[in-house]
Amino acid sequence: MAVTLTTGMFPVAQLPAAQVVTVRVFLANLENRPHRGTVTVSRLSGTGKERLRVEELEVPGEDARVVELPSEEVEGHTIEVTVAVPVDGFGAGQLPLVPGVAVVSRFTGDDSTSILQWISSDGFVPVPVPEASAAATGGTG
Amino acid sequence: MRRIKQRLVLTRARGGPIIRIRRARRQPAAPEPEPDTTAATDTPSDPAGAAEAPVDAVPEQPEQPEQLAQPAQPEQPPAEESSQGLGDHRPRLRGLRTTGLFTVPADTVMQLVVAISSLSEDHHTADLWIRRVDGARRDTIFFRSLEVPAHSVQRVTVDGLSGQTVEIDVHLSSDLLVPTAAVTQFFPADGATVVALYKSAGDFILV
Repeated sequence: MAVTLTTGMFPVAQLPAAQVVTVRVFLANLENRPHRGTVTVSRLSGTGKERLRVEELEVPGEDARVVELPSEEVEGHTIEVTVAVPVDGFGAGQLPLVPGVAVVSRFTGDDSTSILQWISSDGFVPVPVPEASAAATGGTG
Repeated sequence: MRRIKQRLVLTRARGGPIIRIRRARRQPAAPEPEPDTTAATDTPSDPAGAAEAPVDAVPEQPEQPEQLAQPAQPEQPPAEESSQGLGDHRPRLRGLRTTGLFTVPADTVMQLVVAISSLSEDHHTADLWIRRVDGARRDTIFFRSLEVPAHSVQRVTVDGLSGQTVEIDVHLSSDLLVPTAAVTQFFPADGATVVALYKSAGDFILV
């Protein structure tokens, strides 16, 4: 069984050419056994959504996995990050995989990076996608 | 004079009875029903609209400091509906949600962007209010009822709110509609856009 969490649509900054903006989606595993989750990133296109990425990740215990979206896909766009994560954590109702999103700027002059925006797991809200779909996109590894 | 505590048991459609305990006023032992407790139903937002019966006098209580009658508390949603976060991952976006008051940063070319994203396969509606604090008042400066087709996004951009204190309220017809808001700043010189403020879906709380 899985739960689907989404950020909703949010704008990604667009900076001058010397600064490259990317988006990183994190899935952190808080437990010591592997879990699988699905990351879906969509981009606003007109009034519709254009799917940029769908990745199913296996996250080893006490580890994290990152999906990075390049500047040409996200910079200056409005995107939405949706994750499907299992709900069978050790604790009742606990989520073993915790999502997070970082909008990162890299200054090409000295290769330094800075975080422009961070969406923590609190910024994700659960949405009731159909059970069959949720089961297909998440679950314990 | 005896002090008598009245115990009013009010009924409502759900959530069990409201038990309101009120200090009696200085009066004889057999108190008369209060004139403001004659309404048949109790509306939580209307403290005066309390039901009358049954009223049963509680035996005399020890002397306690005089207290004013406590108004009925507004109906609180059950705990599982008021909390939001990963600890409780049941969907509950539907209904009236608000960001509360926040201040739009004061700078040039600031835009407030509100987006309603649909993850549904059906058509839904969302009502959007933007309210601005003006002195002691809160004025609605924008209202729109949005039609959100399946798997699409409706976006509203409002200019001219730089430095203003505003509140965004949305009424969602489905748990599959996800609201977000952002304040963006545009720099015409180099075409840059910076996100000055972001309100995630989790920042819209149920009211």
